[in-house]
Amino acid sequence: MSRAWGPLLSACVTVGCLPADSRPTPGSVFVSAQPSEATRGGFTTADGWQVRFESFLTALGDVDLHDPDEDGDEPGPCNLYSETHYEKLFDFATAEGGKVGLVYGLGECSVEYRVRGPSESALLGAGADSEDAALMRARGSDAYAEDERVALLVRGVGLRDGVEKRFEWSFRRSFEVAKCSAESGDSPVSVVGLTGGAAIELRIVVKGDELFRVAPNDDAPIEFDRYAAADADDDGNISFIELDAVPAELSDEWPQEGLPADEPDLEPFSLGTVVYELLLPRVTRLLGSGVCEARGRP
Amino acid sequence: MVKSAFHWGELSCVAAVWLCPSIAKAEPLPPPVPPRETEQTEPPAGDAAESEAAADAPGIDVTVTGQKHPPSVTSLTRGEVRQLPGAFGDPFRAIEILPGVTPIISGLPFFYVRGAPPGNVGYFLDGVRVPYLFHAAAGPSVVHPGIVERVDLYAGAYPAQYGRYAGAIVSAEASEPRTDWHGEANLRLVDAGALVEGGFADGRGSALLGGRYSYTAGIFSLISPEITLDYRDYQARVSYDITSKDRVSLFSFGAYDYLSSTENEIETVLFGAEFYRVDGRYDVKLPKGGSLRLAATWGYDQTRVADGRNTKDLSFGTRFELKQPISETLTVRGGFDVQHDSYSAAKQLYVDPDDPDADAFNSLFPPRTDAVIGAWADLVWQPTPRVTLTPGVRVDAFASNGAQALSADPRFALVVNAHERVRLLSAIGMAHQPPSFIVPLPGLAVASLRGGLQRSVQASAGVEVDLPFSLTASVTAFDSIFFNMSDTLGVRPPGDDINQVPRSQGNAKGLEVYLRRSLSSRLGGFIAYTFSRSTRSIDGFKFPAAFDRSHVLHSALSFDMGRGWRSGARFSIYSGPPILDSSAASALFRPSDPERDPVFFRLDFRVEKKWRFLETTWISLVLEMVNATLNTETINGNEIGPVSIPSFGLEGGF
Repeated sequence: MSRAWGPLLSACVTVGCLPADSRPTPGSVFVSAQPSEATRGGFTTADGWQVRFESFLTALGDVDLHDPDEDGDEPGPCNLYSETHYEKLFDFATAEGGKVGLVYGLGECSVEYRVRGPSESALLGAGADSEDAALMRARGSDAYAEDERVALLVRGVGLRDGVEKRFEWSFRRSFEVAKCSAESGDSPVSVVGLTGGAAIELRIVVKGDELFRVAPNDDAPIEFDRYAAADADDDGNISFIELDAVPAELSDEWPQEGLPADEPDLEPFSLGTVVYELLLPRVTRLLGSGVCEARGRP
Repeated sequence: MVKSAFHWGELSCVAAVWLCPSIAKAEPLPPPVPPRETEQTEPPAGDAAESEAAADAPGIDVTVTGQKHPPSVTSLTRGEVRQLPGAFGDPFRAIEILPGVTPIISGLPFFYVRGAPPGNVGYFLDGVRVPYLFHAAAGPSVVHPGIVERVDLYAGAYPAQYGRYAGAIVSAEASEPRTDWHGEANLRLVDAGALVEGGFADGRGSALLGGRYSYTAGIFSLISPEITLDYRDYQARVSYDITSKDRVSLFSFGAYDYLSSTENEIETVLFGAEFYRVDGRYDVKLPKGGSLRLAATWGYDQTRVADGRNTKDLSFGTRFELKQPISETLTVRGGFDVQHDSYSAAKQLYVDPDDPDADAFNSLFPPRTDAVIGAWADLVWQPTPRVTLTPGVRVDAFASNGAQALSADPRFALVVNAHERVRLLSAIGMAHQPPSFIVPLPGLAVASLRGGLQRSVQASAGVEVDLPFSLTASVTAFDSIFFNMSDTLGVRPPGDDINQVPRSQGNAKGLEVYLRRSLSSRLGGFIAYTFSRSTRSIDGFKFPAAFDRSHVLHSALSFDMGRGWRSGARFSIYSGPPILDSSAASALFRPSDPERDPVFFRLDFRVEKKWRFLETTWISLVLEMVNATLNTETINGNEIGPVSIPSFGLEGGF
């Protein structure tokens, strides 16, 4: 054995040959969530209803970093060091939210997160308890999702002129949220430049009032009349079945694009379809951003 | 983007590291070794062609000895292994064709043996534990075939000498030290290897040095510059006969595998594994053909995955083995061993501290010290010339991170020579094992005995018949019951979250049929067929194991065309495994008779041209290919592959 091989073999046999982690120090992105004022304290609609949430339960998590342009053939500028593999269940109607995840990376990266039903390993965040988690973990199907956990559970009440309309809706469709555009039209808020040792914080804002917009448009008014009128049996409870029975009214605020999928059974749109397909994805966004791209993902 | 983040729950991807297709490979020609003094398989009588071929490369047997004890005509000679298409001359890779062995994925060197998952199959080389058998990326075995004299597959109810694995044992025995200078070398598209051995001190000493080095990094730099793939291994042995009856030896071997990706000038380790062993021995020849071995083994294991996580195991063990014939009809065997493992795990530096996945990793593999001590004994008793009984028992005491457990494993084997050409073989035994990880990896052992020991009761009964034309046939029925299994792979937990290490009960029963004629005959071949049913029970549901394949058939033919030309083909066909829903919805439901993936088959071929020089020098060109028809395989509804491995290599020896 040569002089060179001897020490090498000895070194391998005693301390191993695998190289250590030589990557440079990454930057971090701390993602937290908070309710909008309307979600936490209620809001007044343009048609005079006082709407208040009693529960606004949803699980946020699975924070990830991606190349801003994932369609490119060449390697992108993002180096992912770690992502998170958990979600946290919050009740944004009763608490102020909290941490969603902490990820590490280097370079220009797009931050993504998921809105989903709590898995078995989900953590309990502010306002949520184990009963909430058990309730939302129960799988089921509705007209828009099959065999899924509850991704969002809202309970609330609308009041106007002594009339009380209660609602309790479960949404089973989960979303992967990304590409949150800046309100000013600049580069997306969800794209961050991560340098070594830098710590960036992003906040997810949960906007429950988005479920009551008359159209999927930030300029569209928030109204409750249509929902109250959907209470066909006039029992004071607006069920989602009742929402699905009401045809949607497409007003001038409706965008020309982004309408529900061209499936025959979805036309004409019901009010339920509008809420589920168009308004639900707008419920979360990053602080300071406009609407985000929310892709349905089981 | 470099996705260095690694979900521990996706460790099944690690298995895929072993399955990088399109890497050419060929195995070197094993060197000639002298026949063993004991336990040597007798070639079928009257097979001159085989004897001639065996003279080319004798010595390697791959034997099923679980129920056929002692091993006899079920062996594959070394010449046969060389001629087996798709095995690349590698005796370890030849294991997959044996009855009872069910592949996970064609080409992947992890398999179920009579229903026992890969984590329950132990690998040993000369009694030394080996964490894994094959290099990554469809690479060769981590031990140069030239040093392997024989590989035994103990498919169940194995001898009391073996323990701490509740499924099966793959045991390779190193060749006896030789004093005549000999060696071999091979050159392939992706690696080169060599082995040389010779004597010193007037024949009292022997030294061996072998190894293999891959230059895949250079190859990959042309194809995929961002990927670095590297593997290598070495074997070194020095032995010295103090007297004609006493020998001291130092045997060291190790292997290294490394896969990384470099983007934006940042190199990210995707997977790395290495292990090294140094085994010092003192062997004594006792009267009446008895033997005694005292040995001490030092080991170093490490696995590194993305996220900067890694685990290490610094081990030290000693063992004592005794074999002493008392009379012509009674032999006593026994021994004990102590194993000490010091595990360390580097915590992930850049991780969300609240991530349960990180917690699960730290909980499964905390830094700690494990210890196990075991003792075993059995008797090989021939009350009549036709009957051999082998009762035995093994006792082990385990300790891990404060948890302790004790096991006692009775074993029993019976061989009845009903006729000079007919043998009845049966065996039954119990085995215990600490909780195992999804696939065996260096330094990765589930800590704290959490969930308790796994336990199995395995039984088999069969008949073996010598037929005309040097044919041998055997039929064996087996039934294995597994208790408290940690077969994560087989139950496919919801979300494929392997951190759960769910416990299940298991059962595997089936029938093995094996008809063979030595592949090194002028015209040789075999048919190995296994019909089996492997089930798991968990949460009150009984369902087929994730890799339950009802029918597994291997067949091969090899033909000596003369003038140094030899060709062969192998056909393998497996029925599809069940499609198990691993989504979270499946937590409460497992169908007892799910749909299955389609049947998979593959065709391998091998062509060799050999030239001889002088008396013992030779050179061969070998062209070989696994899955020449480029068939894809479907696992749980996902199409995989085609995993096709071409090989073109130059081999030579003296």
